[in-house]
Amino acid sequence: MMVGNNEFVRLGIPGVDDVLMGGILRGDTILVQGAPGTGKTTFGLQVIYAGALYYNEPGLIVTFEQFPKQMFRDAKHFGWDFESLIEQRKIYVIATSPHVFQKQLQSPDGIIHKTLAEMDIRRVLIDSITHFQRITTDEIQLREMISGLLNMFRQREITTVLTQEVHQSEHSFTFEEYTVDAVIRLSLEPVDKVQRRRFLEVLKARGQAFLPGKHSMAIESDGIHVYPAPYLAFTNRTVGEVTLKRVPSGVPGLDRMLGGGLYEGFCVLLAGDVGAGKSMLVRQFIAYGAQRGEPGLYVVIRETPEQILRVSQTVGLNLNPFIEAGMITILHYNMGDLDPYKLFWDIHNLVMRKNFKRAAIDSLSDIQPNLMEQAVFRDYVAALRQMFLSRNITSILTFDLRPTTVEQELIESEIALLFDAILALRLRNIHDHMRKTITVLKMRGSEHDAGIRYVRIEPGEGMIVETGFEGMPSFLRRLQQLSMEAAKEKRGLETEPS
Amino acid sequence: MEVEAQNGLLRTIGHAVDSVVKVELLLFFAAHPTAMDSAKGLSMWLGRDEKSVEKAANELVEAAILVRYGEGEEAIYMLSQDPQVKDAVCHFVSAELSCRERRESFIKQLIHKEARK
Repeated sequence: MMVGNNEFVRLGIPGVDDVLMGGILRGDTILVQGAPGTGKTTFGLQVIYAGALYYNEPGLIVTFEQFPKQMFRDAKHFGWDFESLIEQRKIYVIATSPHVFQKQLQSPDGIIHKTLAEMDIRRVLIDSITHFQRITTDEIQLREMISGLLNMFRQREITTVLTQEVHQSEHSFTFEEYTVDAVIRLSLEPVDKVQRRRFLEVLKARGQAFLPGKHSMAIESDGIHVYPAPYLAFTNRTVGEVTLKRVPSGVPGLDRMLGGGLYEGFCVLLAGDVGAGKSMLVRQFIAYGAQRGEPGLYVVIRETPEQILRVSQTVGLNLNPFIEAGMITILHYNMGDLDPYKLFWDIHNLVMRKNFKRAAIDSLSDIQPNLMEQAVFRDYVAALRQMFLSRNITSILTFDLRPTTVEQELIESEIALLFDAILALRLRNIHDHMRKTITVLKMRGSEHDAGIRYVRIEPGEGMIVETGFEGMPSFLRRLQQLSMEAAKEKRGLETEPS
Repeated sequence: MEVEAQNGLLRTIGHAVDSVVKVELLLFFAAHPTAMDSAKGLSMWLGRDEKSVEKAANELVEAAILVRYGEGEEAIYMLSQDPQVKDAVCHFVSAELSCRERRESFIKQLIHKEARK
């Protein structure tokens, strides 16, 4: 790829070239830093392997510590056959010491120069640059040595990856960071008390733009995958064709409240208490769409697909035929190892490939705690909404509310602004009975019923929205009073004397 | 003729590899035929002392199994680039040293010989 007079080299690691907005400038040197076990060598090997296999760019691997045989054995787990590419003379590997490597580079008729020329080497991996300290620990000498080495590769327009060991706690800059053209830091960070997740961050990339911040990284069965932060990487601002077509929710009583159903392309927040029926409503929405020939995507975190099928059957919803016919696609994740960025790009890849008309995510509350920075939750949800909007998909995203959360707080929350419609499914204590209720808190561009309605879930019938609380004015007054008191308390205001 | 030549090379290797360090050097270079390093560097790859590695490497150079560039501390050792020697080394390693039991028995014989010296 050419940008201006500059040629970009795709590194070939899924997601990394997106973070680098196309790749790295040809001939640049990339320093890949990280603590032990963060995937530095795997990163370097993947760049070399992809170069030789997909981009016709022969590569040289220089290793100062790890036996090449061991490297290639480990690489086989990812399906990378280095031996075959070595036999085809697309990759050359040298196990040596830093001082021998340096001497050889200084000698124009040395083996390294001969190899670079004979094989037309375009990519080099040096693993790791930290070993140059075996020659000297004098920083000035080291800097001169490494600068000379990198300039030699730059002059030949060889893209060079250097790995460097740094400890997680180190925040100071190393001189190598100044010397190289790009710095990529890999880390393994705690997301809670028991889990750690991998991240990749570009700290520097001379002469080119890149996506700043930390991006999710995973080492999967075929190597490293990077999942860029969706709110930075998903830049598609197109909007699907705007129509006034109503989309029935699958719950007739709710459609009446909505003035005839949702609008096509709407993104709906379905918030409510745990156990109030959010998942049931979502299932009816997806299943009803499938019945009407509208393919649906159902992203589920808490329940397994088997549980969904079983529970659906208890209310007369048989999702199996729709799944088998490809009308419903279930994407399931475990809460324990959920990576929100990966989830976003998995959805993205499906949405771009299939012609979904409906989508549901159950629930945003399972995604939120897995984001490293809570401050980005709003932007994350905005990226999801934009993705669905760009494909004109009508979507419902569920969110758990605490029993003490009042509707007003939800309407005033940061994420509420993102949604075209907001529904609240609540559990209310009415005459010593816990009753399910539904309220339409917001519906853009349409008149709607603002009342609080009973909800029943009946075997064989699913969710049924009933009439309002006629004949219960005292309850409604009390409910309103409670809501106001809670809202005032939240704002730190004194409750007015009754 | 070729078979005879290879058999001759195999005998040469068999005679030349008369110490544990040489076995280790041969295994290292057979597994990594493009490796190149100084005696000091090789001693780190093998986890052996530099002097004994240097002595063994120089003897393998004399037997034309390894080649040496430079002299003294600057000397760099590599596997011979002669395809016949490379083939013979691979053949020898796969026949005598790749199977763990055969390797152990080969090394035991060498230790026994060294002890008798």
